[in-house]
Amino acid sequence: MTAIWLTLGFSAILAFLLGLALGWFKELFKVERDPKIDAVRERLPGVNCGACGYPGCDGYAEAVAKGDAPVTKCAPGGKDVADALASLMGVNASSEDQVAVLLCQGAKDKAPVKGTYVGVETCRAAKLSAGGTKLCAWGCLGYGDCTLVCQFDALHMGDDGLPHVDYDKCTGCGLCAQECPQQILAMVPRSRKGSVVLCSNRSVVKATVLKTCKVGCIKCEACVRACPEQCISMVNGIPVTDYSKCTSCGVCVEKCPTKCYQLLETAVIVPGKKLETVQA
Amino acid sequence: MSIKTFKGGAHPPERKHRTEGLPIENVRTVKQVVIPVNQHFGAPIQPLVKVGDVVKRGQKIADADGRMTVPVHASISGTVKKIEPRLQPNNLDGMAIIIESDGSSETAFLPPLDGLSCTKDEALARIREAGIVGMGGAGFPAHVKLAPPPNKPIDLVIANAAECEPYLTIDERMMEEAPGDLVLGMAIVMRALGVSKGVIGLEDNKSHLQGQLESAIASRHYGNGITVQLLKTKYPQGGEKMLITAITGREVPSGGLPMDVGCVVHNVGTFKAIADAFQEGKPLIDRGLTVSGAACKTPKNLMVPVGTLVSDLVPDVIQIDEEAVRRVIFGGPMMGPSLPNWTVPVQKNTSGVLFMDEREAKVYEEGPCIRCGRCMRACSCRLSPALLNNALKANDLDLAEQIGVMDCIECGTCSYVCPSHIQLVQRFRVGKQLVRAKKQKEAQRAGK
Repeated sequence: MTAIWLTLGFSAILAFLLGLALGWFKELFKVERDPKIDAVRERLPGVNCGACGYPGCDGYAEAVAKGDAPVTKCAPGGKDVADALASLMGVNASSEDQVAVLLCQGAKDKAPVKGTYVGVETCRAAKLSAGGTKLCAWGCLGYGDCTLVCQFDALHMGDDGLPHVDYDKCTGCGLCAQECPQQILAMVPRSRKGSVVLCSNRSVVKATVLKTCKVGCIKCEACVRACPEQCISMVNGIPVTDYSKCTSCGVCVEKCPTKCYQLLETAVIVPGKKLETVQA
Repeated sequence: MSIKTFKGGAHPPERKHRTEGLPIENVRTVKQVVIPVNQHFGAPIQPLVKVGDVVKRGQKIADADGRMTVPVHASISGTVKKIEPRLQPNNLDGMAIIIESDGSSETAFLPPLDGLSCTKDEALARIREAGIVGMGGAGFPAHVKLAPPPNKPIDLVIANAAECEPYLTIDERMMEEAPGDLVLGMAIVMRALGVSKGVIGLEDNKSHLQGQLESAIASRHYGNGITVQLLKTKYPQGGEKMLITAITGREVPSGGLPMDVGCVVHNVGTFKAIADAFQEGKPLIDRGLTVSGAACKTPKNLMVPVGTLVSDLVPDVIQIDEEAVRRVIFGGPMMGPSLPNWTVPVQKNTSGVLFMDEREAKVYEEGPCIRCGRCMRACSCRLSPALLNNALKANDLDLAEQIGVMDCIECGTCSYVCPSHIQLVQRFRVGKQLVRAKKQKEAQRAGK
């Protein structure tokens, strides 16, 4: 019987001492870690898409906690996550849900090619070797580099040779805009209303625009003159709408002789309906 | 003397017979020139003239400050008609100055300068003011190569007379017709660099020029120290790094320049332009080029003003079988860009214009890699094109960089030898661009 008591007592004392040692070691080898990192990480969606530009959600969480990264970078999380992070970090989140818009309507039958391109069939390769394949040096090359980088299955090449954004799926991560060698995918707030010019032709020789594309902006500035709110101005050869004044009246859409204009809310950013090519 | 070479490479059909023996024809009848403002490798420059200005042949019409810039000169006398973007041989629209000829032969050259007695600074300034760029193809400013940093001693000047690109014969003709200019140009460069040794690297398919060059060297007092070295006829023998390895046995380190191994390499055309700039004070306003290809009915070696539209040479100077043209290439067939039409100006670095017919420009479909290893044996930089291709196809830029994509000189030998017709070199070009962009981004982030 004493043997049992002895063993139990010994074990209890040993356990107490080891427990003390453990507690002491914990204090001794403590790793300082900002609890904010874990708090931020908990609020991120955890898909590790990399759209923020950091190595996964952990990397982004660390950068946010340190204050190196803005809280609005998480695209799949969107506004909800940005707001949550903003309240956590005590900053103002002026983030808005963004979506990608292709600023080109140069479909196969509208914008002719300058020759037969033979080579690696990616936009970047065509741009580098042949300066692009279309007569218009600014237009969509149509090899779909953007569709390959989309992590959310929101971009698909249409039969017209242009990528179409599926606004049900687009999270506004901006990977496609970064990938496009022509820089013609623009990120715009999903809720934006007003007119937009779906053309990126910045040619200074006006006469050549119509030769290179049937639906290109010919710099006639009819829209600038027609706009009742006077909210359109030419910037680098392309009309730009001032969205603080635009009332979506649609006058510019009507006046544009080459049908470059569309209203964002009715013809471009429409969930469930894909961008249609205009009839010239 | 033994025939030297480098490891790797290939021997595509030369097809130089069409223009080999033809003397250079001087074209002086062009009515207008389209002179691209930026024809060199480096920082952009700006036009100095306005629409309506009257310019003389040889007058400077565009320039800018900065080390990596060279001026551009009017190649004919006349009036500036327009300044607008035009298609350049690199397939991009670049700002160009369009001059219409007034028929006069007035010139505004620089005063002649004795390159063998002036100071080094005078020589370098003259070479820059004359707008001289590397005429082999890349268009690298010539004066930059001649001003190496003091910690990089130079002991050898090499004249690149390999002309390893098939079809092209203009360098060969230039050496045959004006060997003295080549020797003078080399002597000026050697003097400016303080170098006593010079080598003319000549492929052995042009070995008949050796005697002529040697006697031209021997008959001139400034020819001391210049020798002619025969090289094996093999592509890319005229690649700067391959040429140095073949002649000296030295190897340009990865990411390095010829100056890192004490060499300065210039094309024979560049030496000729340097000689002209000192002897006559003539800037680089005329360009010698070979017009050839199976769809060209009159293959020729021409000397035309820089900015001449190739379409303006048809049909008075050259005739083309327009039906048969399948591809127009500016430069050599291995590295030159293919253009959608020939309303394109001849630039300072345009060594040839090739009109290829269906047989020459045959297009093959890309097949799968059969792991034969031919590209690896042929790669003149001793890279592994097949592995690079896999890395780039998988978008693994880190791996591609690690196995040397940045060392690729884009000579195109791998694509040429590939039995599956895989477009290797084009992927590497894209890969190099992406790696460069990635590094820039990283540097930006690190700087922030």
